[in-house]
Amino acid sequence: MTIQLSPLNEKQLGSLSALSAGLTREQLLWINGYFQGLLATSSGIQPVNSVVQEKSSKKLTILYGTHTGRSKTIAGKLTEKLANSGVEVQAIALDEYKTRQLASETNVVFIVSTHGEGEPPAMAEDFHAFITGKRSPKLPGLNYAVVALGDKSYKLFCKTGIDIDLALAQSGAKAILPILKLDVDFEDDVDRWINEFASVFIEISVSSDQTVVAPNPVLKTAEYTRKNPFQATVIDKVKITGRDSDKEVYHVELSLEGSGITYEPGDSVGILASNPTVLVDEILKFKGFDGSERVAIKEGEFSLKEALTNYLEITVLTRDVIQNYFEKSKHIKLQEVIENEEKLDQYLYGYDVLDLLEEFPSDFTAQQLVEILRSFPARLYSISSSQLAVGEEVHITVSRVRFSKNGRERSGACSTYLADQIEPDSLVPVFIERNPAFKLPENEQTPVILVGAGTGVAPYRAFLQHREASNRKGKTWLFFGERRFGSDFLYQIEWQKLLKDGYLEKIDVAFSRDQEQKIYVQHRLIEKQKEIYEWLDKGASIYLCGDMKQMARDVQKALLQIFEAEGGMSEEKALEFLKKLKKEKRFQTDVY
Amino acid sequence: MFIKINTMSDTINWKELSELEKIKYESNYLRGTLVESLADPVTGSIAFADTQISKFHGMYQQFDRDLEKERKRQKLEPAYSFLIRVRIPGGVVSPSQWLKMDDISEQYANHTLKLTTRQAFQLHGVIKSNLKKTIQAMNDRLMDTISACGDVNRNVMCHPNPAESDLHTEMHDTARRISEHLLPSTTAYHEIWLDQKLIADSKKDVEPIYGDRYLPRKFKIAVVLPPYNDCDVFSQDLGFIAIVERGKIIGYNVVVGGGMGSTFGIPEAYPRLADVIGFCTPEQVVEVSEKVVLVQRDNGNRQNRKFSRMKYTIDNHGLDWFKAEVEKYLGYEFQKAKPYFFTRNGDRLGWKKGTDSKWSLTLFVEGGRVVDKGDMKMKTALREVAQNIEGQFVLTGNQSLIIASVTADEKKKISQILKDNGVLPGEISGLRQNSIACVALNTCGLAFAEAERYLPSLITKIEGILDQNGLLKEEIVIRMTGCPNGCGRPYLAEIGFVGKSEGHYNLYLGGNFIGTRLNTLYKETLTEDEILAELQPIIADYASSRNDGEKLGDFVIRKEYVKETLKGSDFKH
Repeated sequence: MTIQLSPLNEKQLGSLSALSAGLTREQLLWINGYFQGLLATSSGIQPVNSVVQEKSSKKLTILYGTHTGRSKTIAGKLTEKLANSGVEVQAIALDEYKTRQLASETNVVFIVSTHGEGEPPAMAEDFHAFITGKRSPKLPGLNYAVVALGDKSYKLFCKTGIDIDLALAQSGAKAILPILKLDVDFEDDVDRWINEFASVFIEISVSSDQTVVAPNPVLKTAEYTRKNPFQATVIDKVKITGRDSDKEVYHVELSLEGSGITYEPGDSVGILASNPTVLVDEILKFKGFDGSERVAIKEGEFSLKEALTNYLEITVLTRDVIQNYFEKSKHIKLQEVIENEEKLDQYLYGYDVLDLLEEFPSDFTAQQLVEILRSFPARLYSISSSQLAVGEEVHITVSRVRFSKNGRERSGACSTYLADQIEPDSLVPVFIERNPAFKLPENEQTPVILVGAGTGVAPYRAFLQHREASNRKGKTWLFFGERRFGSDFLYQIEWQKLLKDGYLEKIDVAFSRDQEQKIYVQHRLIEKQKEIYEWLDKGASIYLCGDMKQMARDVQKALLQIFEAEGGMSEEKALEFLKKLKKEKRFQTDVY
Repeated sequence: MFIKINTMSDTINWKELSELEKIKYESNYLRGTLVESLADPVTGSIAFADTQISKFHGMYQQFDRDLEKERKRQKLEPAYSFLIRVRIPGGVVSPSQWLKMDDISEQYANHTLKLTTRQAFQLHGVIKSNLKKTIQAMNDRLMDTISACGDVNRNVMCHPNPAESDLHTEMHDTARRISEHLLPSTTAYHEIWLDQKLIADSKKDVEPIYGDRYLPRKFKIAVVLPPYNDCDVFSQDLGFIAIVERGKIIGYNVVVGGGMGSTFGIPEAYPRLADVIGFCTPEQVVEVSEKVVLVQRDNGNRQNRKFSRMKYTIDNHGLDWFKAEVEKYLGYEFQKAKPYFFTRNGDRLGWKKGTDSKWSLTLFVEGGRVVDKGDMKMKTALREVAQNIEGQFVLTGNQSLIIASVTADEKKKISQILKDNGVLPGEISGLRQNSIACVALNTCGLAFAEAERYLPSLITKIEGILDQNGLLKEEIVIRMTGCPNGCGRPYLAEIGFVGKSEGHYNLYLGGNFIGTRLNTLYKETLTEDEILAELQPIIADYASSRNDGEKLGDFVIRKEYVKETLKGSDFKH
């Protein structure tokens, strides 16, 4: 190898080639580090990435499984933190990772969320099946840690992470740290854990004499988050269900002016609401508090009334809260409920904190009360606008939750807040929750079939606004279901115009209460099965948005039926086909 | 014998004609794209061209105007629904037909029945997805909606009261035969609404009378029995005035060229009263109707629908010309018209015994709206009556109802049922008895102002003035419409109101009590306070200086409050 145009003289070049002949890789790396060190000391600047790689124990693989991108973000943070400490880090998505490599890994951190009722996110399905299945390998040489993300309001909190943690332990691997289970407001906990992990991890590796400057992870962009929301001004709020509807759906337009916030169709917006004042007052009254009592919670010190109104979850009960309540109150009857899965399940649906206080009375101080409760989670709404069309605005479609139970009227916290407590010019704390798993196809030529019921049609409004603004006509097919044509056809005149102008190619509607027999979107899908299959054949993507419990399941069933009937597939093959579509991102869901 | 008219479709210059002509022509004899429109689930409306064609099937597309702004804000389309008008020659229905309509109005419409000024039923609020079911339900009891609207002969009116005369049956039969003879022959109605596939002979003969573009405009016919002009025969395109000698109808005086419609700001459009052109025998009536229709078909203005009614055809060509044309088509001449006279065009309320000892009750139905309201359960009452009698119901040209041909026993039952349901044919002022109001808001798309929903309260206020002057019992013809189209025949009234804008009306005075004189504009664009302020001194004057038995309409002309309108073309808004 002739080095031409080199700053070295001939003698130096000669010494260099003599030295470099026959070196092992390890030796080369050492020499590299040596010279780097020379460089550093010569210029007097502390190097950022100056660690000498002595042993491979300073390598870390981060495997993440995400649905909404949070796990990926955490993986990014951890990567940055460790890389600054000189660790060779790689972060890989679970569906891109070859599972047979696991056996040759030394250090792995798993960051994985749990989805819906204890399901792994789509990209982690295969790995989860692998590691918990019969073919999972023995991993005695592996050091690992699991960060599990979840939502305490769901029954099987962090199940996926727990499964993986257990499977790894059983395979003989060694835990670096016990499993970290994160609820929806995880930011502080994550930061703490990352620091903890970094210090533990670097200790167990061979220490270098390198003083590490670990700069604080720099936030690349000023992002508005749950902890740091943007105060968005309300531009408009209008009820979009007709007079005869037995639902109340609101279309809300918020201004993002000056925030620099961007979002894509398919993303959601998180809203930090306030609780219904009626419920707060009733709780105070029942416990004999006047609301001015000072309490200390995670977010700071507040009056009891303010804590209950703005910072604590009171309209919904979760297992952990019931558990806390039992531990503090030791109420025998409550124990019975906790120990009976069915009773507990029942109790978790439609009951609120006041019910708990009334049914299982106990003496609490104000401080004890707030310690039982969980933080008020933000509520997420699928965004119903595209910035291509609305610029510095974000629109949402909100259905008011209202029902009666035990003679008392209940209301959803955020839907009530949006329906009743805000007006144009009010300020609403918001942040964007990205949703990489629900996006229009990258190739704009791809036909899309959009299936939604009720407010599940919201992201499709965003999709169509996007396509209209991009002047992309046709190849869009909307299936929409609700109760009554006359009063519940959300955004009817917008769909009619899109149809007329050719941006929406086809629309099928199902109004369940307009005739004797109930007709839902899945019935329309079956009716149009031939054409749907033709669209799929031409590469169409299918989207599903709406209520998780009933609709998602029924629509999936209908799709499988269509695959079997039109594609001549067996039940098994149909399931495989659906899986394939999911993998190819041609079947995307946003269900809640 | 049919006169073949060459429609010369390839030589028609569509640009010159009203756009509706092309729509009719292309509709394939009234089919349009109705079937597709009905099947479209994304909108409660039908395609524009179909809204014109649906009229021939007795349907108007409407929307709830009270909710217009709200719906737009809600990002929802207007609350569309349909008016359905039932063809009932002479307004005669059986109790079972009444019950069917009552049922249908509950199941598919807005729980009310409207009795129109042409003796027909009208349903409101029928949504698109229920149209077929409604038509089929009616069809079960041999009722249809064919040609109740559109550019065809409309519901044929006829004197309504069997108790009034033995001749009612014959007249009703005449009205029925005219109606059937002039029905469109297209099988479109049966295909679209009744799912029947009928075999037509050949395309050429599909519409022997109307041809493929039907008439230039609506056509209205009435058959009346002097001295009662309750069908306002002079407001019709074509009228037959029965001439009776020795208890038999020897024939009819034929009158042509009436029509109420006009437009603000277009003086070339005006209401007109029909002229007598001669006399025909009972056997000639159907033929005469046909020929008059044909002359209008061939000569009516198809360029500008504002001038398409036969009244303009007559005024443009001259009455003599018109008569000659009809006689040409007939192949014979009319006989000389015979004397007749009228005493009233309002209904006479109350019980009347016929020569056959059967009874009939003329029941006032305010605005023709059969509905249960508060303590007065008119709809329920009539349903019960229908369930308990074997007679007939006859709708009158004044929006009221005659329960006809009942026995003395049934009469007792009826009285009891009415009483039990708070429907007491009690004291109604002479003014209110003779009132007519068109529907206007909230369903009519043409209305500028309220009519049906407002006139009753205005009448109450005017009754206050009448009462002060001892005139509560005085029969005065008062009519209100929400726009100048004049569906409620306001231009014949002694006191007429035509809506100009919300809460504002033109006031017309000087029609007469028998429906033979057009009224005259007295004051424009009045609010309620102004209306009352204007009427008060006139009524006071009438009370104090009227001649014996002089009617208000004659009084205001004699006293020169207004000048008499001698002919339609003189009428000014």
